[in-house]
Amino acid sequence: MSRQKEYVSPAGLRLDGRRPLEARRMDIAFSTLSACDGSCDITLGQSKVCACVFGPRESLHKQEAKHDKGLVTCEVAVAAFAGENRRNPQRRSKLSEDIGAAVVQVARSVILLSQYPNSQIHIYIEVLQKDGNEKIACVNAACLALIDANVAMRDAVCCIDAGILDEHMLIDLTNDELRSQCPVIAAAFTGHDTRNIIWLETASRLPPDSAARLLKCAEEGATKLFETAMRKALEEHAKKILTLKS
Amino acid sequence: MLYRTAVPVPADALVQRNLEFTRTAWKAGLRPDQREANQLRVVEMDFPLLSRDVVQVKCGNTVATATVSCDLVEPSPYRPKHGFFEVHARQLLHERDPLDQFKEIKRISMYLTRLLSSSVLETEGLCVIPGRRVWSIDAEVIIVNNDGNVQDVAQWAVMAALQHVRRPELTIRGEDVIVHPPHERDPVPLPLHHTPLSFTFAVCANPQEVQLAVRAATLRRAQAPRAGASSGANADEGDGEAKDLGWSSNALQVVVDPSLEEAAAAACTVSVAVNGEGHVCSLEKADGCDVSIAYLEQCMKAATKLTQALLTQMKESMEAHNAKRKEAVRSQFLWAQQRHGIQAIATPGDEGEHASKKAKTEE
Repeated sequence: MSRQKEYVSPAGLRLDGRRPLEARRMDIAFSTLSACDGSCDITLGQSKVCACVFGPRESLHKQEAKHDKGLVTCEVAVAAFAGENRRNPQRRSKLSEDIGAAVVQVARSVILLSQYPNSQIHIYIEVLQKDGNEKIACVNAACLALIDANVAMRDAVCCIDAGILDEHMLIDLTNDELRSQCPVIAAAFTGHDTRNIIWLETASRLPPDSAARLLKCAEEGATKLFETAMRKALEEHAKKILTLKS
Repeated sequence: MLYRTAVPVPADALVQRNLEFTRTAWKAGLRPDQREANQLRVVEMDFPLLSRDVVQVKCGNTVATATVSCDLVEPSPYRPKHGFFEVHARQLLHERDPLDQFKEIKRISMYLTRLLSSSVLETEGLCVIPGRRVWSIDAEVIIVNNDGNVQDVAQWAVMAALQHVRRPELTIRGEDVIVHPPHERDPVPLPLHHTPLSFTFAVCANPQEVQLAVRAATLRRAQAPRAGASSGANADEGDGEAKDLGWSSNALQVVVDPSLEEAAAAACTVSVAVNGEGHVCSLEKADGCDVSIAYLEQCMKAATKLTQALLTQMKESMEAHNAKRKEAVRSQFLWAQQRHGIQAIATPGDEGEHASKKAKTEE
């Protein structure tokens, strides 16, 4: 299929009109749900994700609670209408478990767990629409929801994926581009200093130097995405809070 | 007199001492079990049964057993031309295991599925008759003992089993499928595209903490001359503190094949899967401190070197098992070569005939 389809035109435009190193538009809305401690809605291109955080609260399972640090759990629900085909909402798909494991891993790396002994931080994520980058959107939404919940964190998180397709380095791949089964690396970086890798995942064959180049490409894309979308949203959210207080 | 019974040392305290010892050894450039930074534990691959579908891999005290089974089944109606390939991981648990051990086993299952399902074994090649008959390959790993680095040992076991297993030969006439038993036709190996091997690296120290320690040592060294001008004792104390805080130049940064204590003492772990051609098939980083791209490049380079040696050892184990199987098959029919019955039937009276038979046998 990748031989018949032209993913990047000779003029340097992708199927949806983007340049190869251009991410899709990211819209962020904080505090959209009232029954939780922190929430965040993210629209990243065609993917829509809603994340809310409950906690730090008393751990529901006493045996799992740890006396010296907090416990992070994550629950992911993919809506039946999220993808192209309607799926059975009763089945727990591999995608939910995969996203949940990734979000827990990123959250455990970034939250100062020693500040919350005997506590539990529960993250609940709902995927409303999928377009290839739902895992990236879920990680971003979860970390922004943790910021909204005033959980102590070392840094903000910016997650992005990069791939090599027809000798081009692409950022923020869509469903059509992922269907070509090109090599893809998904990575989460600290927001203010994107040289630090928090989470990393790839499952495709790459020479080592291509893997390093892909990581550098993803790092540059994360820097731009954080500066353009996340920093502005966080600053506006802080202004709103200060305005309410004053 | 009354004596109190001795109170045993709590396990948590002992574990904490071991972790501190491990970190101190890393700062000095050594490992607690005297290995090099890029040295695996002793790896043994064994095929314990005569059948080709069971393999046992030992790495130090970590033992994993992998079993592969092939069945002809009906395909899924959504994908009629694709077979099934699944990898499952199990562990023999006992009462002293932590409560979240099953989550670790599940994570290993997900890792193996992600690594092997997409590129190693193409499910389209398992199709026999589209819509009616496809092969279903089921690989199962049983972790017998866990002494650290279970994920790598499980992955090596699955790869060895997949390379060594054989499925029956098929003859297809129209819509009839004839499955030939092994004594009729030789079985066929599975269509593997490449052979990735996974290696887990432990990042010894948090890079940010190392930078902070170096900066603190630099500040103390900058303040030392002024303190030295005032009194010699302060200068001595300053030098001692600088030596204590400073990281030695030969401190280990990344170690391969971490044991249980090393994995617990590490700041974070990175898993790299590399195949025989030197391509990176998987990159994963567990929770913990941040790493930079330079660390990942170092891990990829070390994994590329280790892959060749391990693949060679895997091939040698398979050849040894093939030789053992041939010897076992030959020994089944050894009785037919001895000709005891024919000699026993001959009457002892006919010496001449017996002698002539003996001469023919010798000829």
